[in-house]
Amino acid sequence: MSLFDKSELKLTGTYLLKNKLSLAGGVVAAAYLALAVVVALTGDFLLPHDPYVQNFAEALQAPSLVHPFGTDDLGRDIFTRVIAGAPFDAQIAFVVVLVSLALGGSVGAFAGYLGGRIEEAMMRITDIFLSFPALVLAMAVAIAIGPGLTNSMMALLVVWWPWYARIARGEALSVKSSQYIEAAHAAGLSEFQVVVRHVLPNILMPLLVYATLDISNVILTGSILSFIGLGAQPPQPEWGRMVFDGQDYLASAWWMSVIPATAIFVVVLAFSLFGDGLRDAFDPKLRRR
Amino acid sequence: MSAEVLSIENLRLNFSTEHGTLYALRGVDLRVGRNEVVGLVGESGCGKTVLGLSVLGLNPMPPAELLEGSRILFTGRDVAGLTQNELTLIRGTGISMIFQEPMTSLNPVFTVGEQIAESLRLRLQREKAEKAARSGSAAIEDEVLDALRLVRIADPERVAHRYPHELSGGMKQRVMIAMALAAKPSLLVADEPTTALDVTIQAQILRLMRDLMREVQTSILFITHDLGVIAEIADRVAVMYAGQIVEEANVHELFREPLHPYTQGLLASLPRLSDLDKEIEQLPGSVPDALSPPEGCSFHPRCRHVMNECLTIPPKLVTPRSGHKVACHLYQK
Repeated sequence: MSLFDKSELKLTGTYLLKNKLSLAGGVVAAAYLALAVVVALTGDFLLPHDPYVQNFAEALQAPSLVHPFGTDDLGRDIFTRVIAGAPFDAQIAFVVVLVSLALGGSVGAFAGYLGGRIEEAMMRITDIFLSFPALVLAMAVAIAIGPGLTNSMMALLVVWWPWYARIARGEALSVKSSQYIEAAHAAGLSEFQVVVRHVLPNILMPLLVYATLDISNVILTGSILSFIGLGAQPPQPEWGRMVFDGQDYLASAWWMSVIPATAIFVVVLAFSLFGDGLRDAFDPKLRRR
Repeated sequence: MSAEVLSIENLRLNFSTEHGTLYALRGVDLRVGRNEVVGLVGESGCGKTVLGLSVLGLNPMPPAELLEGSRILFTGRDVAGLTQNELTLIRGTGISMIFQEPMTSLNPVFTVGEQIAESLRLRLQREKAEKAARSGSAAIEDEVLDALRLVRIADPERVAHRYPHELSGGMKQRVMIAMALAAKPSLLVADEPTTALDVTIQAQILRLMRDLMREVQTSILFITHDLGVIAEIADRVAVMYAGQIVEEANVHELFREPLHPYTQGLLASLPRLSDLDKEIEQLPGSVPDALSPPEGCSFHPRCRHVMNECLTIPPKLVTPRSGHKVACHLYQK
């Protein structure tokens, strides 16, 4: 399974297209990302209403033609707010996953490859992080550095990278004993060059597949942090925060919580299905069912 | 500076393992001259590969340990005393290595051309021709194609863009040779480069290496267990047994008149087309355990000429004839 191999990629692609569920997930995830990018670039320009302006005359209205998802307790259009909220979770997910991938991947690759005391030290540090429940540690960090969107990303990062380090280390261990690594040494490459040019490219694939599966986890945990008040702050239309804002009105105005919760659900499900399909497609053993 | 590219003196190397100390190399003396092909032959587990790796300082230490008095002189410089950084600078451009399995010695995620380019760039950097190294991919690309042409690959433009798994074993080994030679080493250590290939490809690769050696002026330490291969490629042969060189001679001399009982046994065990009915002779016993090599001559448990002194006194390498060395009590005077 090599990353840059065209025929292999083609095979993976055809398999991915055959897996209808995963394809649907991929389409929804792509649509969500496109929406997030467009909203992030254009700001409030394309939105039907202003997501922040309060209008008490129209508070708590049920879904209608004017307000397809209804309005909240402050009279803001929930449809507008759900769309305006798209970039928040996308940003959290991508920043956390990519930085974890880069940081954890490098730490793990060097640890697994170099072995000995360095490995021992690095992996015991990751073990310390992994020994806490992810959400509890993220909450603790978020409380310590204060609530807010950026801080919640930092908190998630602290919790997230050790998983990547662990996977990268395992992969690096198996790559380490390959003969092309010894050949690279014999060719006169330094340890650093060997890791960067020969180990990392070979362990990237499993990490990337894990990362796609992981996006949904980050979105979920990120919105939980917002839900408990440690992430996005009002009036930011972050979905988790919106679910929280609506819980007092659950009996009278269900749409305030249920609609943003459904948005989270759909996006998380889409990324999970797509990631699952991607994993299967890249595993030749699963592919030939 | 001496005419020798490589001069190994009294090389002793142990591995410490869970089961005790493993005596991998027990006083090896070996020389490789300029533009010479020295064949190193021996059974599996006799220490051939360890010897090859120690020339490049590639044995992991620990568990490996070089004993006091071991010297590995590469163009007069003792490799054994070098730091890791100094060793890295010798590898590739000074000494290069070709491995046994061409299938797994190439990185699966890069094209063949990229991998050759890597070894070219390394050389250019070290030659301080930084202008050339930077001057760009076009010059490097040309050199990659030249390197592929050198190893007689018919359409280098196409092959350079191929991934290793798209090539046959023979092609891969040619690419490995091209990579090794692109760095212009003075010494090439070839560890069973043809063992994984079938016989016709093996013959092609051997002829290629022989030709290339003349073209690019390099010496080769050729490690194999196959006497047929040795006969084809080597100028001089060293026979290794249980971590020691037991006989060393010119290739013709060794095949015509082997002196050591072990070499005699090896040659007798080769099947010959001329007498197919004859049962193939076989050396009794097997290679001694490197954890506890026998006292005296390490070959004595399997030797048919075994004498009293063989049991206690390790034989020294003597020269009963000019250019022909042997470590056996039959010839000690």
